[in-house]
Amino acid sequence: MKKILLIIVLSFLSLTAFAKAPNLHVEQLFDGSYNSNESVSTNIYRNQQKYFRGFTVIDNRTLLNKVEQLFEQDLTKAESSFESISQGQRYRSMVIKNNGEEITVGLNYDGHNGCYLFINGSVEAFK
Amino acid sequence: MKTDGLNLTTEELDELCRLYMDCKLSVLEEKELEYILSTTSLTSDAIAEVRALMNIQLLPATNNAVRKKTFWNRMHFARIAASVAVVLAMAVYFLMPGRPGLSENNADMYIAAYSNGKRLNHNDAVEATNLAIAKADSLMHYASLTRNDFMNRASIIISETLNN
Repeated sequence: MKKILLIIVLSFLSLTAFAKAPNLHVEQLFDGSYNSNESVSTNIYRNQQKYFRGFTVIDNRTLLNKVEQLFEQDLTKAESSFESISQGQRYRSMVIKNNGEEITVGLNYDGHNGCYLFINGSVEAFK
Repeated sequence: MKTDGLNLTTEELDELCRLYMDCKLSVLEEKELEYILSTTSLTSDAIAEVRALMNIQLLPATNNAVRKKTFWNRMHFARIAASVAVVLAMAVYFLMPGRPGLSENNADMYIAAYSNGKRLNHNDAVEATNLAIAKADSLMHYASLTRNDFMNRASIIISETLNN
Protein backbone atom coordinates (compact mmCIF):
# COMPACT_ATOMS: atom_id res chain seq x y z
CA MET A 1 0.00 0.00 0.00
CA LYS A 2 2.78 2.42 0.99
CA LYS A 3 4.72 1.58 -2.15
CA ILE A 4 1.72 2.23 -4.38
CA LEU A 5 1.06 5.57 -2.69
CA LEU A 6 4.72 6.52 -2.99
CA ILE A 7 4.64 5.70 -6.70
CA ILE A 8 1.49 7.81 -7.17
CA VAL A 9 2.99 10.80 -5.34
CA LEU A 10 6.30 10.50 -7.21
CA SER A 11 4.42 10.29 -10.53
CA PHE A 12 2.64 13.56 -9.76
CA LEU A 13 5.91 15.20 -8.77
CA SER A 14 7.81 13.98 -11.81
CA LEU A 15 5.02 15.09 -14.12
CA THR A 16 5.13 18.59 -12.68
CA ALA A 17 8.93 18.61 -12.78
CA PHE A 18 9.32 17.51 -16.40
CA ALA A 19 6.51 19.53 -17.98
CA LYS A 20 6.85 23.05 -16.69
CA ALA A 21 4.09 25.48 -17.60
CA PRO A 22 5.29 28.84 -18.92
CA ASN A 23 3.18 30.73 -16.35
CA LEU A 24 2.80 33.84 -18.45
CA HIS A 25 1.57 36.95 -16.70
CA VAL A 26 -0.81 37.71 -19.57
CA GLU A 27 -2.60 34.44 -18.88
CA GLN A 28 -4.09 36.11 -15.81
CA LEU A 29 -6.42 37.89 -18.22
CA PHE A 30 -8.07 34.55 -18.94
CA ASP A 31 -8.73 33.41 -15.37
CA GLY A 32 -12.42 34.28 -15.76
CA SER A 33 -12.34 37.53 -13.80
CA TYR A 34 -12.90 39.63 -16.97
CA ASN A 35 -15.62 37.44 -18.47
CA SER A 36 -18.37 39.73 -17.19
CA ASN A 37 -16.56 42.96 -18.09
CA GLU A 38 -18.52 44.72 -20.81
CA SER A 39 -15.50 46.39 -22.37
CA VAL A 40 -13.78 43.05 -22.90
CA SER A 41 -14.14 40.27 -25.44
CA THR A 42 -12.37 37.01 -24.68
CA ASN A 43 -11.62 34.05 -26.93
CA ILE A 44 -10.35 30.76 -25.65
CA TYR A 45 -9.47 27.98 -28.03
CA ARG A 46 -7.59 24.77 -27.69
CA ASN A 47 -7.37 21.59 -29.69
CA GLN A 48 -4.81 18.80 -29.64
CA GLN A 49 -2.21 20.95 -31.38
CA LYS A 50 -3.13 24.59 -30.97
CA TYR A 51 -3.47 26.81 -27.91
CA PHE A 52 -4.97 30.23 -28.46
CA ARG A 53 -6.19 33.10 -26.30
CA GLY A 54 -7.61 36.38 -27.52
CA PHE A 55 -8.38 39.42 -25.35
CA THR A 56 -9.91 42.56 -26.82
CA VAL A 57 -10.31 45.73 -24.80
CA ILE A 58 -12.61 48.46 -26.06
CA ASP A 59 -12.24 52.00 -24.70
CA ASN A 60 -11.00 51.19 -21.22
CA ARG A 61 -7.80 53.00 -20.30
CA THR A 62 -7.42 51.26 -16.92
CA LEU A 63 -7.67 47.82 -18.45
CA LEU A 64 -5.38 48.79 -21.32
CA ASN A 65 -2.76 49.80 -18.75
CA LYS A 66 -3.21 46.48 -16.97
CA VAL A 67 -2.76 44.52 -20.22
CA GLU A 68 0.32 46.58 -21.05
CA GLN A 69 1.76 46.00 -17.60
CA LEU A 70 1.32 42.21 -17.87
CA PHE A 71 2.81 42.25 -21.37
CA GLU A 72 5.85 44.16 -20.09
CA GLN A 73 6.32 41.63 -17.29
CA ASP A 74 6.42 38.78 -19.80
CA LEU A 75 8.89 40.64 -22.02
CA THR A 76 11.62 39.68 -19.56
CA LYS A 77 11.10 36.02 -20.54
CA ALA A 78 11.02 36.72 -24.27
CA GLU A 79 13.56 35.22 -26.58
CA SER A 80 12.82 37.90 -29.18
CA SER A 81 10.51 40.85 -29.42
CA PHE A 82 9.17 43.11 -32.13
CA GLU A 83 7.61 46.56 -32.19
CA SER A 84 6.23 48.49 -35.09
CA ILE A 85 4.36 51.76 -35.42
CA SER A 86 3.00 52.29 -38.87
CA GLN A 87 0.16 54.51 -40.09
CA GLY A 88 -0.94 55.18 -36.52
CA GLN A 89 -1.06 51.50 -35.69
CA ARG A 90 1.18 50.16 -32.97
CA TYR A 91 1.92 46.48 -32.75
CA ARG A 92 4.19 44.69 -30.31
CA SER A 93 4.95 41.01 -30.10
CA MET A 94 7.31 38.62 -28.41
CA VAL A 95 8.32 35.01 -28.75
CA ILE A 96 8.78 32.95 -25.60
CA LYS A 97 10.18 29.42 -25.74
CA ASN A 98 8.91 26.71 -23.44
CA ASN A 99 9.39 22.94 -23.67
CA GLY A 100 11.26 23.59 -26.94
CA GLU A 101 8.16 25.17 -28.50
CA GLU A 102 7.41 28.79 -29.37
CA ILE A 103 4.69 30.93 -27.85
CA THR A 104 3.82 34.20 -29.56
CA VAL A 105 2.22 36.97 -27.54
CA GLY A 106 0.99 39.91 -29.61
CA LEU A 107 -0.43 43.27 -28.55
CA ASN A 108 -2.10 45.54 -31.05
CA TYR A 109 -3.27 49.01 -29.97
CA ASP A 110 -6.42 50.41 -31.55
CA GLY A 111 -5.66 54.04 -30.72
CA HIS A 112 -8.86 54.56 -28.70
CA ASN A 113 -7.86 53.22 -25.30
CA GLY A 114 -8.33 49.73 -26.60
CA CYS A 115 -6.15 46.85 -27.67
CA TYR A 116 -6.11 43.29 -28.89
CA LEU A 117 -3.85 40.85 -27.10
CA PHE A 118 -3.37 37.26 -28.16
CA ILE A 119 -1.39 34.26 -27.04
CA ASN A 120 -0.68 31.66 -29.68
CA GLY A 121 1.34 28.48 -29.62
CA SER A 122 1.32 24.73 -29.68
CA VAL A 123 -0.28 22.88 -26.78
CA GLU A 124 3.10 21.34 -25.92
CA ALA A 125 4.46 24.80 -25.14
CA PHE A 126 1.94 25.25 -22.35
CA LYS A 127 2.42 21.93 -20.56
CA MET B 1 3.11 -29.97 17.91
CA LYS B 2 2.02 -26.98 19.99
CA THR B 3 4.69 -25.38 22.17
CA ASP B 4 4.75 -22.30 24.34
CA GLY B 5 7.36 -19.55 24.56
CA LEU B 6 9.58 -21.78 26.73
CA ASN B 7 9.43 -24.55 24.11
CA LEU B 8 7.31 -26.85 26.30
CA THR B 9 4.81 -28.98 24.48
CA THR B 10 1.25 -29.39 25.70
CA GLU B 11 2.09 -32.94 26.76
CA GLU B 12 5.13 -31.84 28.77
CA LEU B 13 3.17 -29.09 30.46
CA ASP B 14 0.33 -31.52 31.04
CA GLU B 15 2.77 -33.89 32.71
CA LEU B 16 4.13 -31.07 34.90
CA CYS B 17 0.58 -30.23 35.95
CA ARG B 18 -0.10 -33.87 36.90
CA LEU B 19 3.10 -33.90 38.95
CA TYR B 20 1.89 -30.68 40.65
CA MET B 21 -1.47 -32.25 41.48
CA ASP B 22 0.36 -35.32 42.86
CA CYS B 23 2.43 -32.91 45.01
CA LYS B 24 5.63 -34.15 43.42
CA LEU B 25 7.05 -30.70 42.60
CA SER B 26 9.32 -28.66 44.82
CA VAL B 27 8.28 -25.15 45.88
CA LEU B 28 10.67 -23.68 43.33
CA GLU B 29 9.30 -25.94 40.59
CA GLU B 30 5.76 -24.97 41.54
CA LYS B 31 6.69 -21.28 41.18
CA GLU B 32 8.19 -21.95 37.79
CA LEU B 33 5.07 -23.83 36.74
CA GLU B 34 2.92 -20.97 37.99
CA TYR B 35 4.96 -18.56 35.87
CA ILE B 36 4.72 -20.81 32.82
CA LEU B 37 0.96 -21.23 33.21
CA SER B 38 0.49 -17.48 33.57
CA THR B 39 2.30 -16.79 30.33
CA THR B 40 1.49 -19.72 28.04
CA SER B 41 -1.62 -20.08 25.96
CA LEU B 42 -1.36 -23.90 25.88
CA THR B 43 -4.26 -25.68 27.51
CA SER B 44 -5.63 -29.05 28.43
CA ASP B 45 -7.90 -30.37 31.19
CA ALA B 46 -4.97 -30.78 33.60
CA ILE B 47 -3.48 -27.41 32.72
CA ALA B 48 -6.88 -25.73 33.17
CA GLU B 49 -7.38 -27.45 36.48
CA VAL B 50 -3.95 -26.37 37.81
CA ARG B 51 -4.55 -22.85 36.56
CA ALA B 52 -7.79 -22.83 38.52
CA LEU B 53 -6.05 -24.19 41.61
CA MET B 54 -3.31 -21.60 41.37
CA ASN B 55 -5.92 -18.94 40.65
CA ILE B 56 -4.05 -17.94 37.49
CA GLN B 57 -5.86 -15.78 35.03
CA LEU B 58 -4.58 -15.32 31.51
CA LEU B 59 -6.83 -12.36 30.98
CA PRO B 60 -4.27 -9.58 31.53
CA ALA B 61 -1.83 -11.07 29.02
CA THR B 62 -4.60 -11.84 26.54
CA ASN B 63 -6.06 -8.36 26.93
CA ASN B 64 -2.66 -6.86 26.39
CA ALA B 65 -2.22 -8.77 23.17
CA VAL B 66 -5.69 -7.85 22.02
CA ARG B 67 -5.09 -4.22 22.98
CA LYS B 68 -1.78 -4.23 21.13
CA LYS B 69 -3.35 -5.80 18.09
CA THR B 70 -6.25 -3.37 18.20
CA PHE B 71 -3.83 -0.47 18.58
CA TRP B 72 -1.79 -1.59 15.57
CA ASN B 73 -4.95 -2.29 13.64
CA ARG B 74 -6.08 1.23 14.41
CA MET B 75 -2.69 2.69 13.46
CA HIS B 76 -2.69 0.68 10.26
CA PHE B 77 -6.21 1.84 9.47
CA ALA B 78 -5.27 5.44 10.28
CA ARG B 79 -2.28 5.25 7.95
CA ILE B 80 -4.37 3.84 5.13
CA ALA B 81 -7.08 6.45 5.77
CA ALA B 82 -4.50 9.26 5.76
CA SER B 83 -2.96 7.97 2.52
CA VAL B 84 -6.34 7.64 0.86
CA ALA B 85 -7.21 11.17 2.04
CA VAL B 86 -4.00 12.53 0.49
CA VAL B 87 -4.67 10.77 -2.82
CA LEU B 88 -8.29 11.94 -2.80
CA ALA B 89 -7.26 15.52 -2.02
CA MET B 90 -4.84 15.47 -4.94
CA ALA B 91 -7.48 13.96 -7.21
CA VAL B 92 -10.04 16.57 -6.13
CA TYR B 93 -7.51 19.36 -6.74
CA PHE B 94 -6.60 18.13 -10.20
CA LEU B 95 -10.19 17.35 -11.18
CA MET B 96 -11.93 20.22 -9.37
CA PRO B 97 -14.67 21.70 -11.56
CA GLY B 98 -13.64 25.29 -10.77
CA ARG B 99 -10.01 24.71 -11.62
CA PRO B 100 -9.08 26.88 -14.59
CA GLY B 101 -8.55 24.99 -17.79
CA LEU B 102 -9.92 21.67 -16.58
CA SER B 103 -12.61 21.32 -19.21
CA GLU B 104 -10.03 22.39 -21.76
CA ASN B 105 -7.53 19.77 -20.67
CA ASN B 106 -10.04 16.98 -20.83
CA ALA B 107 -11.48 17.83 -24.21
CA ASP B 108 -10.00 17.17 -27.65
CA MET B 109 -11.19 20.62 -28.60
CA TYR B 110 -12.37 23.44 -26.37
CA ILE B 111 -13.77 26.75 -27.44
CA ALA B 112 -15.30 29.56 -25.40
CA ALA B 113 -15.89 33.22 -26.01
CA TYR B 114 -17.25 36.13 -24.00
CA SER B 115 -18.43 39.42 -25.35
CA ASN B 116 -20.12 42.36 -23.60
CA GLY B 117 -19.95 40.48 -20.33
CA LYS B 118 -21.81 37.44 -21.62
CA ARG B 119 -20.78 34.01 -22.76
CA LEU B 120 -21.49 33.40 -26.43
CA ASN B 121 -23.28 30.29 -27.60
CA HIS B 122 -21.20 27.67 -29.38
CA ASN B 123 -21.76 28.88 -32.95
CA ASP B 124 -21.09 32.51 -32.09
CA ALA B 125 -18.06 31.50 -30.05
CA VAL B 126 -16.67 29.54 -33.03
CA GLU B 127 -17.25 32.49 -35.33
CA ALA B 128 -15.74 35.05 -32.92
CA THR B 129 -12.76 32.85 -32.14
CA ASN B 130 -12.07 32.16 -35.82
CA LEU B 131 -12.02 35.91 -36.41
CA ALA B 132 -9.71 36.41 -33.42
CA ILE B 133 -7.34 33.70 -34.67
CA ALA B 134 -7.39 35.15 -38.17
CA LYS B 135 -6.54 38.59 -36.79
CA ALA B 136 -3.69 37.12 -34.74
CA ASP B 137 -2.39 35.22 -37.80
CA SER B 138 -2.56 38.39 -39.85
CA LEU B 139 -0.63 40.36 -37.20
CA MET B 140 2.01 37.63 -36.91
CA HIS B 141 2.32 37.57 -40.70
CA TYR B 142 2.63 41.36 -40.76
CA ALA B 143 5.36 41.21 -38.08
CA SER B 144 7.20 38.53 -40.02
CA LEU B 145 7.07 40.51 -43.29
CA THR B 146 8.06 43.75 -41.59
CA ARG B 147 10.95 42.08 -39.80
CA ASN B 148 12.19 40.54 -43.06
CA ASP B 149 11.79 43.89 -44.80
CA PHE B 150 13.83 45.63 -42.09
CA MET B 151 16.50 42.94 -42.27
CA ASN B 152 16.72 43.26 -46.07
CA ARG B 153 16.95 47.02 -45.87
CA ALA B 154 19.61 46.76 -43.18
CA SER B 155 21.58 44.33 -45.36
CA ILE B 156 21.35 46.69 -48.34
CA ILE B 157 22.45 49.66 -46.24
CA ILE B 158 25.37 47.67 -44.79
CA SER B 159 26.50 46.41 -48.21
CA GLU B 160 26.20 49.90 -49.76
CA THR B 161 28.19 51.38 -46.89
CA LEU B 162 30.88 48.73 -47.34
CA ASN B 163 31.02 49.29 -51.12
CA ASN B 164 31.45 53.03 -50.67
